Amino acid sequence: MFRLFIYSLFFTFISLIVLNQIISHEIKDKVRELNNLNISINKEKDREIILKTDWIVRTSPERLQKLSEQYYPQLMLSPSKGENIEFINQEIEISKWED
Amino acid sequence: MGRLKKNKYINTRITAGSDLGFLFKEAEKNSNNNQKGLDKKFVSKERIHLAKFLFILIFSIFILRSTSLAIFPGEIRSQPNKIISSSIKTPLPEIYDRNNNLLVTTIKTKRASIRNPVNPIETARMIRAVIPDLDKDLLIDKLENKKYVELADNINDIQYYDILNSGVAEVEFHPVWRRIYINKQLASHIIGYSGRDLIGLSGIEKTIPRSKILHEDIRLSIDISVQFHLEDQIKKGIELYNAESAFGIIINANNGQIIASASLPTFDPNILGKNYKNNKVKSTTFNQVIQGSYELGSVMKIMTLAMGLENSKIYLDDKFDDNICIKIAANRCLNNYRNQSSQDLINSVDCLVRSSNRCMAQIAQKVGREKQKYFLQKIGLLDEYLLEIHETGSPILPERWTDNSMITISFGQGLSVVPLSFASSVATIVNGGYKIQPTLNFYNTEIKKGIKIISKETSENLIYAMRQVVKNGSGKKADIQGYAVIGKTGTADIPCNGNYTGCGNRTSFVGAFPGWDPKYVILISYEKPKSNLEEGIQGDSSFHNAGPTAGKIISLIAPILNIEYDKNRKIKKPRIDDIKNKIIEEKSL
Repeated sequence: MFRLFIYSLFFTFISLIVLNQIISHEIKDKVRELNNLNISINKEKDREIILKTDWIVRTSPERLQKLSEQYYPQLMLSPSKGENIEFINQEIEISKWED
Repeated sequence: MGRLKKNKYINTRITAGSDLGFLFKEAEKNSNNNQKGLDKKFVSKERIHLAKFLFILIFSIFILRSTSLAIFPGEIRSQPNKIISSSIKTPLPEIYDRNNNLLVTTIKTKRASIRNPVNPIETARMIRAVIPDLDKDLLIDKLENKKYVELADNINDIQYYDILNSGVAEVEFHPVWRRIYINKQLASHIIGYSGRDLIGLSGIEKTIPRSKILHEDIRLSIDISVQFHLEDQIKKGIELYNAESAFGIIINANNGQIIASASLPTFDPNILGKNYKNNKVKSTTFNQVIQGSYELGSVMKIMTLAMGLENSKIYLDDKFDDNICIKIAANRCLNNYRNQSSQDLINSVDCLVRSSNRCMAQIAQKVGREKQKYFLQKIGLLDEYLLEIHETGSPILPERWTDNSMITISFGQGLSVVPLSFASSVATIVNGGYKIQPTLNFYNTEIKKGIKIISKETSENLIYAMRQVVKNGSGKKADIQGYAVIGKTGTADIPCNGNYTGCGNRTSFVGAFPGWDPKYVILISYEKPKSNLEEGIQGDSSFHNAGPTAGKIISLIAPILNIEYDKNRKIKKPRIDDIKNKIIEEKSL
């Protein structure tokens, strides 16, 4: 009986050691994965800033003016004029919606 | 076995753990035939149990502890360094304009350097094949004498791979931050520039490290599209009128937010560091709007008229003699600009429309020099002022405020004022008399009005008079239909060598729009413009250059700034009798 107890204890210890090793390996893998993810997120962030900057360079007023002058015959785009803008009396509009 | 039986001494001295197998066998034999051996066997078994128990206990503690560590690892000490170093926030905040357009950002680039090269001459040859900008002799000298040499800052990806493929083993790459000014020269005087290690050297960039808002994005009151139109039109104007330099500013008349501020010639902060030793480039970093102070000329007549009305020394319909002799020297009378003077008596509004120097001198004489100084002080022209950026100019006052300087200041000579403070004082006059503080910060809150320093009546009178200047006088070319632009032109002689003749002139236009409720004040000024007959510009006065430029800018930016277009709206003449009666009543009380 005593020997059986000893053997069973021994067996559980061995299995615990194996389990321990498996789990710790998995944890290490997960941590490594997490680190890689964090690094790639930061790389993407850096790249995002560059793309954002590029977009703003492409939509800068200077470039847009140059393009609008270049493609004026096709697109007929020019700065907006005051007389083309109509101001709505907002109070009347709101009262209409409320009714 | 036989040896053991003979020698009892050895048998009793056996202790647990020395030779367990031998002990088991001996104990079994003893149990069969020796009664005395029972006690011994029992004792030794007990000892073994104890040993086993202790062994298992310690072993299980180890195993349990290591298992729990594996399941709940807690803080792993070796890993976090990597995570933190890769997730550093950008070291400086981003700058946005009032419509949340990005103006300045920080990006990561690489810096290439070299450490302890084995063969400096060969290394230099290989490096110069990839980076041809480097000076050959200087590079070899550096590589031979220094342990650590920096090759290039801000290298791009193509250069990076080129250097890697060049075959130099000692090259190192370090990540560095670089400030990117996306709109290049747009608003560069306001934004400023920064040095190699991201230390701000001028403008808002210089303010960032000192302010508490580090790591929070900054939102300026600048509107980048308005700024673009302002700079673009002034740039075209400089070419058209062949001027030396020019500046322009647009501020909100009610809360003092600076919408746009241009000082040309301008610079590109991205490449300034490389060319900074060039004096011509260096001089472009001077911000005329904020650092300079100039004699702006006839635009100062607005102040003189406001001063006369505010002190109730004159009224709008008072008549003045335009041919009177006002002595400024022993045998010299004051001249009008280019000797244009009318034969009849003219009223105060016509004084401003015709831009009569004699008229203004008479008003100044009526008010007196103490009150003139007090008024200019009150409206903020004589003080230094505070702004979010550090480089600010200060006005240049006459050494002694004599009667002569009183007369010259009344029409804009003899007192140099900072353009920004002049624009804000005009804003004070047209917004109903509330003092404003120019600012570069964007506040989305409701308009906060400052202390009232000018009466509403004076403000209304001045708006009417300034409208007449644009409608019938020298500001005609700035009269944009639908916005009832108000303003005043000015042409001042530039002093040089203690003289005011033959040094060209400075033309300026100060205006506000829309006329019925001025929301924005605009100030445009050219230095030494010339007439350009080929393009149909027949003069060098403000009528021919600053006025038209301001008109073009207003027509372009008014739709952007959400200003109502109304071509039927007119500015009524204030009822002067009412004002007179009111003032007389107040005095009698």
